[in-house]
Amino acid sequence: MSRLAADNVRVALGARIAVDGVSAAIEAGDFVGLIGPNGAGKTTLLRALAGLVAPAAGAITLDGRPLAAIGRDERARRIGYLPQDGTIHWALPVTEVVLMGRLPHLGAWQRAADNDRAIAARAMAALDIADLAARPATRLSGGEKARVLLARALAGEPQILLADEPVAGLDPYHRLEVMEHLAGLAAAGVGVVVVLHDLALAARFCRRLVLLDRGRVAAQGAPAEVLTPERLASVYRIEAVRGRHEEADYVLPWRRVPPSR
Amino acid sequence: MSRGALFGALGALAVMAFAASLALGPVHVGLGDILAALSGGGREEVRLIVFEIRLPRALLALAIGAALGISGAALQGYLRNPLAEPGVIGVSAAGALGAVVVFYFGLTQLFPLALPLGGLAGAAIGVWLVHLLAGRGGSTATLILAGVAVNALAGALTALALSLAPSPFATLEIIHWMLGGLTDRSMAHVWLALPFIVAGCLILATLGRGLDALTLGEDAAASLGVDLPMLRLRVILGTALAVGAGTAVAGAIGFVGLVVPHLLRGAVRHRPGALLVASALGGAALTLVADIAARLILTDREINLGVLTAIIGAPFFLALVLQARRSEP
Repeated sequence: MSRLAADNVRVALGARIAVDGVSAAIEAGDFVGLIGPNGAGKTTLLRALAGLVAPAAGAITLDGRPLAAIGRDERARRIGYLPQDGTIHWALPVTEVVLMGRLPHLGAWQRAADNDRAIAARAMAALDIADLAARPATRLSGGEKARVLLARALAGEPQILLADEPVAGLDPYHRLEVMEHLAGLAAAGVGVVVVLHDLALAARFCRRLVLLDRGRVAAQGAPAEVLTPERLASVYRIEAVRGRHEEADYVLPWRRVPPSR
Repeated sequence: MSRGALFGALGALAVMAFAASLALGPVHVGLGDILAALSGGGREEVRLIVFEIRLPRALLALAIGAALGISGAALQGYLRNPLAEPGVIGVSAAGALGAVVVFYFGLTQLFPLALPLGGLAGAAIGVWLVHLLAGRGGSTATLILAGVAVNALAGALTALALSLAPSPFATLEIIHWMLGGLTDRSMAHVWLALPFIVAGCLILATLGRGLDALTLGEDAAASLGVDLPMLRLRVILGTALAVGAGTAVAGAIGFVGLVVPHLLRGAVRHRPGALLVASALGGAALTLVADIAARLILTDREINLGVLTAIIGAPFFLALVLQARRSEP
C-alpha cells in the first residue's frame, strides 16, 4: 500500500504563494478529483506531489518518507505524472513514445528489453491504440494523443498516477473513455489523482474530490459533500442543475452567480 | 535499418573519407606509400607529407566534424528545436573572439599556439558566462536567451577588434582565420585540441536518455527521473569542450552541426538519443569530404573549409526546408 500525502504544504511561485497550507492524501486504489477554478493552485499542487517543485513549507511524504529524500529513480518508478497539454516534440513512432514510460525502470546504460516492450504493448492495447504503433507522434489527433500519453504513463506501472487535465480538449466520447480508464486503474489498485474542470465528470467518476480555492482546500470528501450549492456559488461563482441518474449524482453548471455588491 | 547497421554504415563512410583525405592532395601519393609511411617506413618525403600535412588535417577534420555533428544533435534534442546548432550557446562566437584578441595584440608572434589557446580561453569564458546568465534552474528558454546575449557581446567585441585593428594586414589575417579552415595545421594543433574534443564528445554521447525523455517536455522528463539542471550543465560543458576546442584550431565551421542531425534524424526514427552517435559519425564523414573538396576544387589555392561548408550547406538546408514543408500538412 502506498500513500502520497501533503501535510500543510505551501508552494511559492516566485513572489506568489500558489498553494498555502494544503493537507491531502492519496492511497492505493483511491480515485481523487482535484478541482477548483482557474488559478486555484491545482497544477502547482500536483507538481509538488510529483516532486517537480519543492514546497516552501510543510512536507510531502511517500509512505511516510519525505519525497525529497527519495531518489529520483525510485520516485519516477512509483509516481507517474501526466502534464497538462502534453506536447510530443519529435515525430517518434508512437511505440517509442509509450516505451519512454519504461525509462525509470531501465539502468543507466540499459535499453528497453522484450519485457519492457511487452508492457508498453499491453498499455497500448488497453487504450486501444495498438494500430497507431508506427504512426509518427506528431500526426495524432487530440484524442489519439491523449491516449498515447496516458499509455506512456501506464507503461511506467506507477503506484500513484497524477494526471493534469487529461481530458482537456477531448470530445465527450473520449472524455468518458479516458475517465473510464483512470477509474479502471484505481480499481486495479493504483492511486489516481486527476485535475478536472468538468464537474460532471468529477462527480460521476471520482470517489473523492479535493476542492481548491485560491491556494487553499475549500472542501474535501465525497462528491456530494463537496459540490454543495453554497460552495459552487462561493468558489466557482456558478449555479448548477443537479440530479440523480442511474444511482449517481450529476452536476451541470447552469448560470453564473452575479457578482455580489 | 537497425541502429547497428546505420552506425556501421556511417562509420565505414567516415573511415573511407579519412583514407581519401590522406590519399588526395596536390602531390600524388599512393595508398601503399601512405600505409608504409604510417607504419614507420617509406620514403622520407612521403613521411613528411603524411605526418606534417595530411595526417593532422585528416585527424582534425574527423574530430571537429564529429564534435560539430554530436553537439548539433545534442543541442537540437535539448532545446527541442531543429534549428539549434552548436553556435546557439555562443561557444563559436566566444572562441572566435578569444582568437581575435590574440591576433589583435600580436601574441601569435610570440608563440604560434597562442592562437588556439586564445580560442579555447574565449570559448571557456563565453560558456561560463552563458551558464551564469542562464541561472540555476533547468529551463531551456533561459539558456537560449543567455546564448543570444553572449553571441551578441562576442560579435560586437570581434567587430570592435576588427575596426580598431592596427594594420590592414592584421584585419585580413583575422578575417581569414574567422572563415574557418584546416590549412597548415600541424600535429601540435591536433594534440592541443584532441583531448578536449574527445572529452566533450564523450560527455555528449551519454545524454541520450535525458534527451529522449525531453521529447515529452521538461516536466514529464523530470517526472521520469531526469535531473534537468545536470542535463543542461552536461550539454553546455560537452559542447564547450568539443566545439570550443575545434573552433580554437580551425575557426568557425558552420552548417555541419545544423545539417547533419537533420539528414540523419529519419534514419534513427527521430529518437534524439540515437541521433547523437549517428551525427558524430556523419559529421566526421561530411567534414572530411568537405575538406578534401576545399583542397581540390581550385587548383592554385584552397577554399576555406568554413566557406565551403556554408556554400554547400545553405542551399542544402533550403532544400530540406522545402522538403519539410511539402511533407507537413
